[in-house]
Amino acid sequence: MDLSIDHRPAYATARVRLNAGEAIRAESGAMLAMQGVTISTSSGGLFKAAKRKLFGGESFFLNDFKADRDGGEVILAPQLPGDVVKLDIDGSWTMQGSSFLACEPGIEIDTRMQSLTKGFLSGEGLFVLGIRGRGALLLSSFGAIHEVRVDGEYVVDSGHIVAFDEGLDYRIRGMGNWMSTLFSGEGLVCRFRGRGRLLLQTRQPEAFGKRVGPLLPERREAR
Amino acid sequence: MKHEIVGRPDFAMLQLLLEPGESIRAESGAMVSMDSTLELETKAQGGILAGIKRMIGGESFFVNTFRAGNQPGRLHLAPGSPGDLHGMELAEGESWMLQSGAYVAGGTSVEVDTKWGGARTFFGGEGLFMLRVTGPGPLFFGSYGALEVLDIDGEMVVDTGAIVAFDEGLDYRVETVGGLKSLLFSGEGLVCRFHGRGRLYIQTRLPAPLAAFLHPFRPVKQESSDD
Repeated sequence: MDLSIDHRPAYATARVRLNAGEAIRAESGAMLAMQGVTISTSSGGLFKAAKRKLFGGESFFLNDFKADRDGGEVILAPQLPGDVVKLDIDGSWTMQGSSFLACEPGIEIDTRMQSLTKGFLSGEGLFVLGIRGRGALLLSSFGAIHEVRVDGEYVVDSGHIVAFDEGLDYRIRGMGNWMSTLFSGEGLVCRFRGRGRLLLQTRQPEAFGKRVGPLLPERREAR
Repeated sequence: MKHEIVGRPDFAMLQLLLEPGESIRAESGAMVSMDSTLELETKAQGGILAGIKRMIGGESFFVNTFRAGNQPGRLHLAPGSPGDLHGMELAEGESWMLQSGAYVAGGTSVEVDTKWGGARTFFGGEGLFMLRVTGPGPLFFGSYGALEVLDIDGEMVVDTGAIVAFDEGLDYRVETVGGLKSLLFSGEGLVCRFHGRGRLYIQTRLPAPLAAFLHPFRPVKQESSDD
């Protein structure tokens, strides 16, 4: 498998070249163009898929693109403007559901439940994606991707988290004193601890939606 | 006519330098700025029917022609959405198919025609019509997101919403991907299968998913169910 990432950071795509028999597993709807590959749609295990859909904010189905011959090619893109990065993982990562773009088929994707306090307070829902295995993982972000190497403690707004490795754990904390927590606009944050890699996105989709949404015409909803 | 594209790929803008006597046709609303020496003529090119046909094709009813009189003049043009621009010089009789809305500007000798894309393009969600542009002359088109150039030799399958422009020599048909399960659940909807040899430009983002993302953030007007 040979991979290039183009048009960074605003409208990034991943161009994946596959030899005969090689495959890549992608988020549904991510394919822009393909040649010399066949597409098959799988849930990757019904129970896992249901969990992913219900709790991870991910789609139920994943698409496998498999090359029938050498020189197969797929161009993948996330739905929103933003960056794509490739990680060669060997171990376990935690990521936000909306950041998953694609991975090699040997990598396992599961939904992990956060502790109640983490889930509710972070505003990111109770579930995150757990990625385990060895191979290439493609992540996408809203805005650009910024990597931080944490050694010790580090504070992040939960909406900006893309992914982090197993060397890190976090707790939800208030920001500064109670005045800051309530009025700084930063609210509750994730306080990471440990040693590892942390990927952040430089914009938050939720904040963008709140900025633009009110400018759109009302939608009607039955009471 | 000299041209340069600045601000690529996120917010590309076309800079043109028109020599005395030269002119260019542009999509209505595309002008950003120009030297005051340039003359602008607005008309429903080819008459009212042609104007209506253009609107069906996703273009504007009126076409603006910018012309340099006795002096040269600078003209800046930009499409409506964030993204890239591409310029090419069409040879005599050379034809390209453009996704409706991609056309930004063209030489006065370039012919722009609205073409029925076939009933099935409708289901691709991209409208029923495409534009067929024929040289000679310069042509400029734009994308949402970046532009990716794909040189096809054989076969290529493309998301219908990603198509920006392609060589008229390429054969294409709209179809579903994979088996029944992929049709229903792959999220890929309909695709366009190209055959032959030629160049295709695709855009790296689609406007529809952005609109779908923003939809839940719209203000809600509560309506009682009994009215």
